[in-house]
Amino acid sequence: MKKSTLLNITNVVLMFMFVCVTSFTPYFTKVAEAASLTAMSDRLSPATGATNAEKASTVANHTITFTTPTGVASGQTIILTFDNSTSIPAPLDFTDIDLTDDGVDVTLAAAPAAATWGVVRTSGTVITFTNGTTAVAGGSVIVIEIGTNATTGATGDQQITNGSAGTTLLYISGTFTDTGTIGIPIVSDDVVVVNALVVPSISFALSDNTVFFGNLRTAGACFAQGTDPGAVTCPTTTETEAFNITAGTNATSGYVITAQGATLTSGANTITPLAVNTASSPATEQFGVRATASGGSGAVQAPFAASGYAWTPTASTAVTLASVGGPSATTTYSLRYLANIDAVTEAGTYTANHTYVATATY
Amino acid sequence: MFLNIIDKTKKDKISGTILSLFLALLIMIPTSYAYGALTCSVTTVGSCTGTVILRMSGSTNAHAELPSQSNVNYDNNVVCCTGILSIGNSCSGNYEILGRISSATNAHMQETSVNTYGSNVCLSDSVTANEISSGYQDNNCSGYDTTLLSLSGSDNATLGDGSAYTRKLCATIIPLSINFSISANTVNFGNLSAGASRYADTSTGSGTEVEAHTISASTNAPSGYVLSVDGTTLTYGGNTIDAIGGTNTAPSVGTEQFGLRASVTSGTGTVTSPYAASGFALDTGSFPDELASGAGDNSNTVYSVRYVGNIDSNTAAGAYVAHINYVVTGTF
Repeated sequence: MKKSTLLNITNVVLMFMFVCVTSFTPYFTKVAEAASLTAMSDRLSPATGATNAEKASTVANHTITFTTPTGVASGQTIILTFDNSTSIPAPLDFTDIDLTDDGVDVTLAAAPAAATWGVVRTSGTVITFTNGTTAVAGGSVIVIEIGTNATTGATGDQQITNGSAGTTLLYISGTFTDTGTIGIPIVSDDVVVVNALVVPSISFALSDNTVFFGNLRTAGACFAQGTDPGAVTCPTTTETEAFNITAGTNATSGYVITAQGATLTSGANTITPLAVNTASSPATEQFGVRATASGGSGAVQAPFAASGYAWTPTASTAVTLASVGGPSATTTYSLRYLANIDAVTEAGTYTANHTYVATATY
Repeated sequence: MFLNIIDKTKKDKISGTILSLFLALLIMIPTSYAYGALTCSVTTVGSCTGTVILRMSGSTNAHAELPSQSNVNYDNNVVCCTGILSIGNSCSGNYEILGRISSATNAHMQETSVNTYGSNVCLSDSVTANEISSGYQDNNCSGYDTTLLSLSGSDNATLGDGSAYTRKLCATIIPLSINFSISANTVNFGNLSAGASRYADTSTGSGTEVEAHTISASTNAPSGYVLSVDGTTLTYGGNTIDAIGGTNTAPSVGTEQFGLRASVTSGTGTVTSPYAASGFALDTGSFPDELASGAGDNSNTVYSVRYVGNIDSNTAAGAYVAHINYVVTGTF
């Protein structure tokens, strides 16, 4: 027999043996030992900051749970195989995966060593786990997290991309011999976007539009009030509310109330306005306002907020009286008007027209 | 010339190795997740590309033997099933007894219900969620996927191919299934009000409670499915409308509320507390929170989902959006 013929026969026998060993051994093994995995599930969840989980062609975290009746011996593999165009990114590695055995985290690495499991992205649809030297007992619950939900050791930064709309099957196999299949529903969109509008609103009102001091005097402070006293000398000698302003809004940046107008004026004569918050000083020309706030979140602003009085607006310049930085229930601002004169203040009928404006910023 | 012989030997070795590897890889490709309809026919063992369920001595008036037997005179009439590659003829695991024969070979057959013969003829599926069913009926296999064979009677019967006798053995495999759909992916409240409750719909919202959308779910997973809800409450920039929380609560006009509830329109699934009662809830602190669950009965349950929105007078103005994520997870 020629040498070449002997080589060919040997080759055919070796080929046959190789095919038998590589192809059929798993089936013989499976028949002898395989069991069906139980309580299998794969819960998909959105990545941090994302909203979709089971949407087609979208990345998602996986939490795969199953009970292995047989267990996983030293050196045995667990193989996860996805179908339906599911795509496992090439950079995905053991740092993107957590595995627990009955709730106890297992150390993962690129290759198994001692008690450490090896994890390899075998292909775009397959991940292979290889046990180290610590056997997993039969009946154990295995939980595998893949994606940004894998936080043991390092937080994962790679996720599996869902396949097409339909049912994705996750086939669990490996030399650990137990097998099972999980169905995962993939839909065109798994999120409902709920829209709602809250329309802008602002309320603003003045309790009175005309207030009166009566006849001003040098002997003491005089405060305005809402009733016309006629030719009576200062009917209100103690501080009292002249009128109030109420304001509220749902504007995200709140509102500002401004005051504008001149001081008390009679022809060319004026009563000196207070440029800073100042206490009442009878027998000195003074015109000023102060305000207090109650309810809501609004606040009186300087120079009107302190216990003294001031009037810094002019006929052409508006000044902030009060404001709030966000939505606020109705705030009531109580305004108090002070006027003092000295001995040489010109006689006359003094009037001041003050304009209050509320402006919301949305 | 000598060199040419060496080259040819190398070439043969390489070709053989490649062929071996190809065959090995071909056979090792996982097949359990390939699905179609179950199809069975009587053919020769050499032509069968699927799983042999039973072997017969002829196409009519035949005796039977189990697929584990290998008598040559049964090679030309085997019941061969294809279409679902995870099937087998095992009588363990996920399997259905199709009938019984009187011995391992040279046997008569009886229908499953007779139950006096000792050798079971089985159709199995390694995917446990695949549902196998079989039955006997006259004339045809209407209502089943396929006809496996026909037999002369219900007991002590001889066999034939699907057309030999009136009495037919029929079978169906319903593959693993889990289905989930949402009828609408955008719903609107319109303008929320501190003076009246609003309910979302696919238009501009409603002043009375109305269905916003439906969710349909079903599975044949042995332990059923859970429908869970995840996401956020209504949000506009840094402003939010308070989620109602984990207690089913009636709408309260003038109070910030965002919540949902669900009811079953059809099917066997059930809505889970706190979303099942007449009030509303949204337990963002427990997200992902179970909204409903269903058994693995393949019953398509339609859930009607309703959303309520209320604001107070200080709720910041703006265009609010909530992304509500629904996930169905089967337990197989």
